[in-house]
Parts: sequence; C-alpha cells; structure tokens
Amino acid sequence: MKRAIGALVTVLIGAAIFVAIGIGFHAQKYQSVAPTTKAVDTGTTQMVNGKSLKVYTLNLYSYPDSTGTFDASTGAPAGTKPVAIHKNGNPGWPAYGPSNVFQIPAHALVKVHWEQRDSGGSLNNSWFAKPTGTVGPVTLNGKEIPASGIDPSQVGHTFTVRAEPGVDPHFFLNVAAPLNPGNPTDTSTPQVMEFSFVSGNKGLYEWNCEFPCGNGIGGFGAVMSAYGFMSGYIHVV
Amino acid sequence: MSSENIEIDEFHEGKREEVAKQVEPFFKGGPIWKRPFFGVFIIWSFMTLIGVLIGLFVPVHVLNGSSSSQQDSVKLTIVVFTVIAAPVSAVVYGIAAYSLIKWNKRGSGKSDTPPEDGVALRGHGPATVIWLSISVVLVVILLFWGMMVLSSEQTPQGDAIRMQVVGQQWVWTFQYGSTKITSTQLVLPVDRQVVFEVSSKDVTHGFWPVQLGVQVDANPGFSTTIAASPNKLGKFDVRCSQLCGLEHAYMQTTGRVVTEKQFEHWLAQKGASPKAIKLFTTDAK
Amino acid sequence: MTSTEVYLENTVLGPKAGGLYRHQNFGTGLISGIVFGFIGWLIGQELLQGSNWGSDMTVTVTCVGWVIGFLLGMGAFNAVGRWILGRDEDHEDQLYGAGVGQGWKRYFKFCTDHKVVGIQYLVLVMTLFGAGGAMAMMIRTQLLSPHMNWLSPQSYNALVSVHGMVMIIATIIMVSGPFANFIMPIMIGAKDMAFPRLNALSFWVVVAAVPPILGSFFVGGVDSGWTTYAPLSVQSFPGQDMFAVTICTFVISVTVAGINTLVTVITMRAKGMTMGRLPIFVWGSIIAGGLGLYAMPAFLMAQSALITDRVVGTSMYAPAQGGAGWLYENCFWIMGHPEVYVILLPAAGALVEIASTFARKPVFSYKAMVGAMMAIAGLGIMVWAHHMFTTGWAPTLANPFMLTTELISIPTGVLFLCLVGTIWRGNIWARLPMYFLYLFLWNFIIGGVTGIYLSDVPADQYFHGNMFVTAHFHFTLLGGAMVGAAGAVCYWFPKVSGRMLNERVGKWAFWLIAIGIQVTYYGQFLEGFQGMPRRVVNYNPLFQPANIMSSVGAYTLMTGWLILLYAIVHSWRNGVKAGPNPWHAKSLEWQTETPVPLENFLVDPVVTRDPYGYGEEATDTSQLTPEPVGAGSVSLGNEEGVL
Ligand SMILES: [Cu+2]
Ligand SMILES: [Cu+2]
Ligand SMILES: [Cu+2]
Repeated sequence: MKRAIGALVTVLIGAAIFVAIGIGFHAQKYQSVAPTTKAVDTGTTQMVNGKSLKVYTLNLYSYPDSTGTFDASTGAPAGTKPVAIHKNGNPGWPAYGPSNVFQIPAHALVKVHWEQRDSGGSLNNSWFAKPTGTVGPVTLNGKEIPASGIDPSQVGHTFTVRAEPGVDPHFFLNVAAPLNPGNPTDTSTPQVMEFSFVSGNKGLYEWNCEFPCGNGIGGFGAVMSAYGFMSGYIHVV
Repeated sequence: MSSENIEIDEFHEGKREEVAKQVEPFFKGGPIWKRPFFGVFIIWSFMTLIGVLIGLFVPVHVLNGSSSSQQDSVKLTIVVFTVIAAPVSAVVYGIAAYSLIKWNKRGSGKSDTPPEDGVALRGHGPATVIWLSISVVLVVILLFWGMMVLSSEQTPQGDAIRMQVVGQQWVWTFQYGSTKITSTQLVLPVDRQVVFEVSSKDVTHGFWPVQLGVQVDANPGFSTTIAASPNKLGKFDVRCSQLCGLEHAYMQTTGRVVTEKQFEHWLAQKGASPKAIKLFTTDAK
Repeated sequence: MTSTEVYLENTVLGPKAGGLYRHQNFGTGLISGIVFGFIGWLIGQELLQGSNWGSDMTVTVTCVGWVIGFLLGMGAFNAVGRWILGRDEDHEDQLYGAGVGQGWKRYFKFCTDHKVVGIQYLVLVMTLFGAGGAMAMMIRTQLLSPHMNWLSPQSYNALVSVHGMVMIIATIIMVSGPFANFIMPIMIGAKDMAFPRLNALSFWVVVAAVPPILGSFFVGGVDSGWTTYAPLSVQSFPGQDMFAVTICTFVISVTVAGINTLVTVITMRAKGMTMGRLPIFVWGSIIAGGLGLYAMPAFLMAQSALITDRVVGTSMYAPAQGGAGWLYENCFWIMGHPEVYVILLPAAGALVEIASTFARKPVFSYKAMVGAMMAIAGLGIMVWAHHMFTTGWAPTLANPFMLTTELISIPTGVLFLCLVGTIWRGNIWARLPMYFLYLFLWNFIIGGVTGIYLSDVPADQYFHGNMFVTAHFHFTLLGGAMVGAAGAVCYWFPKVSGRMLNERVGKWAFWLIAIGIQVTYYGQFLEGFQGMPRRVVNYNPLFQPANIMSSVGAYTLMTGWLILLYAIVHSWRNGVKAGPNPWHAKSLEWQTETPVPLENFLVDPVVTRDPYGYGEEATDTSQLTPEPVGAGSVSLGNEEGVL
C-alpha cells in the first residue's frame, strides 16, 4: 500500500512536470498580436449559378516590420490607437495583421480587402503570381488585374490557403499582391488588393505566404519558417 | 534433437554421455502429448494461425484503397510477407512460451534462491544448421519477390505520359508537359502509365501519391522520376513524405483518376488548346 | 563496514592531493561554461551582427564556448595541462581523481573511477529519457485530434526533432554508458578502464552536449527532424546550430568511449580471461564500440559541414552552389543504420547474460552468438541506403541494398536461436529481468518482421516517410533495446546499488510498459497502414482512432516508466541489502563484494573457464578461482588458469 502510494506520487509528479513543460510550449504558440480576427457579416449575394450566399468581409494587412505598430480601426501604421503588429516582433521581419489567426464561416462568399505595404521581389515559382481559387474579379487599387496575374518579379507577399488534410472537396486559394513601389515606409500608401472566394467545408485551414521574404535557402528561412508572421490558421466554422 | 549432438565445451567432453541422459528427447519417448515437440507444435500452430489471419485480413482492411497496379502489389506483398513471417516468428514464440510453461516452477519469481541448474546444453549442431538454412531460403524468397515486383512496376511503357511535379514549401504543383497547364490537383487518365518528373524549388520534399503506391523525393536543382500505372477510377491523396519545415503537414492535396476522355476535357477546361492536348496525350505513343 | 569504505577511509590523502582539481566540481564547470559561453557570445556578436534571436555565428560560438568552458571548469584537462607543464600527476593525485575520500561529492566531479562514471551515466540516461519522454507526451497530446491547435507547427516540429535526437543520444549510451562502464571492467577482471580519464571525459562531454540541444527551443527550434536533412537544415533556425554543436560534441564522447572499451577489453583482461571466455555482454559492448568508431565520424562530418554551411557560407549542401542534399543523406545514414546496432548489441548482450542466469543454463552456441553479433555489425555498415530507397538516389543499387538488408535477418535469427536455445530446458527463475527478456523476444520479433516490409523496395514505396516506419523503429529501439536496458538495470541493480530492486513495484511497471508498448505502436502501425505521414502537426480525420489508441498507449507507457523510476529510486534508498551474488551467477562481477572496492577485486582474479558453467561439473564454483595473495598487489595466478 505504502509503495502503491509512492508509485502514484511519482507518476503524479512526473505528469505534473510534463504538464508544466507542455503549458510552456503551448504559450509559445500565441505569437500574434490580436486574438482571432473574425470576418464581418455583410449581407447576402446571388451567385451566377443562382445560389444565394452569405457575404463576409475580411481585412488583411501586410507590414514591412513586425516591430512597428498599427491603428486597429483603420489598419494604417501607427495611428491614433497604436497596437503592436506582432507580440514578438523582430526587426526586419515582415508580418501580417491584424492577426495571424482568422475565422470565417463555411460556404460563404468571403470578400478580402488586403493592404500590402512591404517591399518585395521575384517569386520562387512564378505560377503564384496568378490568382487561383478566387471568385469574380481580382482588383489592384481598384483596377481589375489580368487572368495571368501580376508581374512575378514584382511581388510583395502572397496569401495562400489550404484546408487541413482530409477536408473535402479540395480547397486551394492563392492571391499575390505586388510590392510597394519606391522606398516603402509605414506612411506610404498601400497596394490594395480586393478579391473574393467561397469558403469550403468546416475545418482547420492553414494560410501562408509563398513569396520568399525570409533568408537562407529558397528565402524560406527565418520569418518564413517562424509561425505567426507569414503563416497562420483559418478556422472555418 | 537427437542426443548425439549435444556440444559441451572442451573441459567437459567426458561428460557428454551424462548430459545426454538428462536431456529429454525432443521427438521421442512417452505418449506423444508428453513430448516437448508436441507442446511446442501446439503453441506454434496457434501463433502461426494468428499471424496468418492477421496477415490475410488486417492489412487489406486497414490499408488505404488502391488506385494503381503498384499499390495492388504493395498490398499483395504485405499479405505474402506476413504469411511467410508468421510460422517463422511462431517458432520463437513456441519455444519461449513452452519453456516458460513447462520449466518454470510456480512461485519461482518470489524465491530468493535460484532453481537448480538446467541441463548443460551448449549448442546443437543440427538445430543451428536447420535454422540457418531456413533463414537463407526465406531471404532468397523475399529478395526474389522484391526484385520481381520492382522490375515489373518500373518498366517503362511506350505510351506513358510524362509530367512534371514541382514541390516547394508548402505546395505541390503539377505541370502537364507541353500543354503548359499547371494545377494544384493531380488529375490522371486511367490505364496509362504516367512518369512523374519530380523536382523542388527549395528543400527536399517527398512526392507521395498515396493510393498509387509509389513515392520519390523532390530535390532542388534536378529531377527524379517515378512511374505509376493508375488502374482504377476515383480519388486519391497526395502527401509530402519528407519533413519540409513549418507547414509540412499541410503540403498535401488530392488527385483523381479519370477516363481518357474526361482527362482531355479537364485539360481543355483548364485552358489547353486542342492541339496541345492532342500533342501531349498522343506524343508518347 | 564494507571494503570500499575501508579503503576510502583508511587512505588518507595529503591536503594537496589533486591540486587544482580539489576545487573543481559540477558547479565550477557550470560557472566556467557560462562564462566561456558569454565570451563566445561577445566574440560572435563582434564577428557578425545578430538579430535578437542571435545569428548563426553568435549561437555557434556561444555553444562551443560553453562546451570548452564547462570541461575546463570540470577539470577535464588538468592532467594534460600538468603533463605539458612538466608537473605530472603523482599517485596521490590520481587516487584523489578516482574519488578517494570524497563521499557522494565524487558523483559531481570529473571522477576517474569507472563505477562512479557508470552511476553518473545511469542518472544522465534517466534524465534524458525524462526529457525525451516529456516531449513524446506533448507530441502524442497534440495528435489526439486532427484539428488540435495546442502546439504551433513550429513548436511541434521542434519537439519532434529534439525528442528524436535526445532519445537517440540516450539510447546510444543507455547500456554502454552505465553497464559497459560499471560492470564490463569487473566482468573481465580489470581494475578500471584502460583510460580512466578518457572515461570520465566521455561522460562529461555528453553532459556538456545536452544543454545546447535543449536550448535550441529558445532560438527558434529545429524544424528538420532528428535526421536534419539538408538543405532544409541549412535553411532552419539558429536552433539548428545548437543541434549540430550537440552532435559534434556527442560524437567525441562516443568515439572516446568506443576506443576506451576496445582497449580495455584487449589489454586489461584478467589472467585466464581468454577472448573465448568473455561474457557475451562484453562481446556486445566491444562490437558496438567498434561499430560506433566506424559510424559516428560520418555524423561528425555531416554535422560539421552543416555548421560551416550555415555559419560561414560554404555550400556543401546548397544545390544552387554545387552542393548536394544527397551527400548529407548518405553521411547521415552511414552513421544512422550502424547506430541502431550500436544501441542494440550491448542490450542484446545483457539479455544473453540474463537468459543464462535466469534459465540456469550455459548460453546456447557461444561461438554462433559472437559470430552473429559480428555479422550483424559487418552487414550493418553495408545497408544504409535502404533509408534512401525512395529518394531517387542510385536506383541501380536498390536490389543490392535490398539483399544486404534482408541478409541481416540471418544473423539476427541466429541471435534469436541462441536466446531461445538458452532458455530451452532451463529451470526458469521468473525474476524481473527474465520478464524483460520475454518482453524483448515478443517485441523484437514484431520489430524485425515489420522491418522486412521496409527492406522490400516496392513495399517501402508505400511505407517510407509514414508512421509505419515510426512504429517499426520504436518497436526495435524501445520495445527491443530499451526493454533490454530495463532488464539490464534490474539485473545489475544489486551490484550497482548494493540493494535488491523492489520487484513488486517493478512488476507493476513491467506490465504497464509491456501493454503500453503494444497499444502505442500497434496504433502507429495502423496509422501507417492507413497512410499517415510522419511528423505532421494536423492530419486527416481518417487517422484519428489509431492516433487516440497510440496516445492512450503512450500515457500508459509513461506511467510504467515513471513507476519503474520510483522502484529504482525507492529501492536504492530503502531496498533490502543485497549480498555480493544474489543471482548465484557465475561471471566475475558477482564474485567480488558489494559495494565493489575501488579497484574491484581485493584479490586478483584468475579465470579458468567461461562464466556459463551451469549444470556442469563443479556447479558450485564460479568463473573465478582466486589465488590468495600476500602483501603484494599483483597475483601471479596458477598455471592452470593460463590455459
Ligand atoms: Cu511573405
Ligand atoms: Cu514537403
Ligand atoms: Cu537502417
């Protein structure tokens, strides 16, 4: 009996240590500034095929420096209500805002308004300059871009989304935004991309950027491999 | 285990007869159910039966569906190997379990003094030779099986279509040769061998069209090839089998095996010109 | 009062014995390591500007500084330094170095006594298993649900990588550390290892190697798995530098330990201990040691080239600049496959000792067993490319490598024959070590059979990079080697600690471990059959039942190991005192007293036969026939013994 208690205590102490370490690792996960950003309900629309879909809008920002601040209401850098772009910002590392975790409803038309403020360059695979998986026109600063997409050597970031394994049907979304011309600073006017897509089935989706804005082999080191800057989750509920 | 062949170390050559007397014969003596051979045989049969049943029924039921002749042969290989391995493993289980049942005195685990010494059996020539020969035969069977399947799977066919698979962190893109069509979904015509030319834009990935039963790594800078022969219409999965960084888990997509007609239709839908399609699908023939 | 205490207390050393080393211990090692690490960090910052996560240069130099500083602070190089300065250590210094008169404190010093090193290794191994096990639990928790969002992909990859490497380090040293150090020299009748200071070095180098790999979590982690395939590992975070420094340091330890084991067995055997009379465990240790000498340098090269690629911009593995990822993969597996046998052979050797002792029988076919071990080692160096069947590298070599891989099953089969042959007709003494032997037999057959699927090129086209592989090698390394190591701990516990292990608690642990292994890895076999890739943070819901099964098994397994830990710690303090030979075994380590005196034998042993003479003439005599000695410290032995 005494030994059984001893054994039990050992197991409990061991489990407690494991849980403590686990909580430490869990805490490491939330590196984004804000809690999950939810898409806003903005009515319904009639699709070409006659179906009516709920419409949601989602704002997306990409900043050249994750150590900066932005205005939570407009998305512009360092506004009146400055919020850190990233909790663990790193000088020279770009980041997405207002969060890296989004929530959208399943089977809805999601309109994305994306303000891109970062510099850029050439893609590893120029195929990603072309929008895939969008519905309707894709506009850049209000003008529709050609089906072949933007110039693959002038890309700022991409917003590339995939469903978690096993979500049916196959879901793939990719839109590239051009780089901010000139010498981008936080006050320059952003490149505004607008596009829509129809969300898929429920599940945990993943988004990341396919522009090599990191360093090392393929430009996918550092910021590209650090969770929460150029990557994140989308909860489709 | 005949008594003549018990080996004793050089110091105890003279004791050979004495040791031999202590050893119960393996096959001979007494009623059949009292001979060690019989006990081992019972356990062996039981374990073999379990192994064979597992081999026949478990893999086929839990293994992913098959969409190609390669995956068919993977399934067959697993069944055959399990069925071959079952009786061999069962020998070890039989001997070990029989020893435990027959020669373990109750309560020995709680005793502080050891049981008296066992028989000084230091080896057994014929047993070792039989054991070795069986292993050699099995290895030869396994090897030939593997070589036969491998060569039949990867023989290039005249009408094979060649396409390019590009892996990059963390997306697969599939290019249909001269049609210049690129897709993130892999659509293949049925009953045509397809040769994948696989390469990467950054780090090493593992191109794994799961139900096609083949895989090959995608390396940056050059391409590796692998052939598959889809033989069943339907969906299949494509996964990355080589850890490739942050979003490795999401580097997966789906594929479809369709009829030749549907395949051409799909290419046309994607924007390929009829001429390019014709060129691509008949080029190889 | 036991003899060790007599020796230790009766020997009064001068107040200056040991010199500087008197003031050095683990604490000064830590301080010096941190200071040197800080100096390294400053140098690194000067040489290359770092971001706030530290640049590769800074991180590497800091880690190297830590390793060197720690060893200097421990006093690892004192003797060499004094020799260079012409003030070589005298006898008193050496006695001090062996821990004379320091009580428990010697366990925290650079102690040259092989028994102290053995116990140090044992504690280190258990600590590493604790760390690696905690990571395993986190991985299994994340995998409970396909949508689990508990760990970020980055943390998950880092955990997977470091779990793998920490466990590999722990398993490489789990038998050859504690038992090839504590037991093996006694088994061959030696007074100590051939190179006691190298022995201490091999241990403290591992201690120095561990913090960098654990620290890698703080600089981004390692996201390339324990295999750290290039070019992904070139792209990875500075954590990768810390990983590489750990490997390079660890390789030094394995190499030094391997040389030490080999030289000890070749030169330090007692009178009459011919090679043909060596216990099988000693054979397992030296074959593993030799194999390690062949294998580990390839890893050192692979990882140091990785460091130069990352830190100073060489392009060994960067394809765009003429490098090749396949170079890394080859180097890695030239280490990687033999390493499996470096882990396995000492454990198998220990299990043979257990089989013979607890079946009360001589080992079956001694020569065949030694031959099988050598054949496994020999073939083991020719099979590495079976890990590369699906890379596309050298397709023409697929068949030859399939052949060599399948050939290994022949000597492995012989090993099985010898184990069951030893048990056959024995009078089984069902104590705890025997339980672990049976568990090993059960598990290793499963590990072996599943290995045959993987050796078949067409089947490997499905199973490569798949959870099936994970289940297979956990079955061999955990279900086989680690279970063997647990058996070895239970078997030699009375000799190491002087007390009996509480087998009641031990058997609870045993059953939890036995069941836990089956549930955990059958679950993973199922995942593999269903096609789940390895190292994924989220997965297809199709695999969830199998994953839940595996996680439940893993928690059971953790409970089992913790209870075994409790049994060990509890018995070490409160266990029933053990006599010198509680198992009535015949090998030399059981013939000397417990606790073992400083130089192992009060009377030099003379060996007249092998240690397996159960059931043979003169049953009551052991392997040892000690000659009484007078005042001298060297025994001449009798003429018979030399035969
Ligand atoms: Cu980006
Ligand atoms: Cu990949
Ligand atoms: Cu291998």
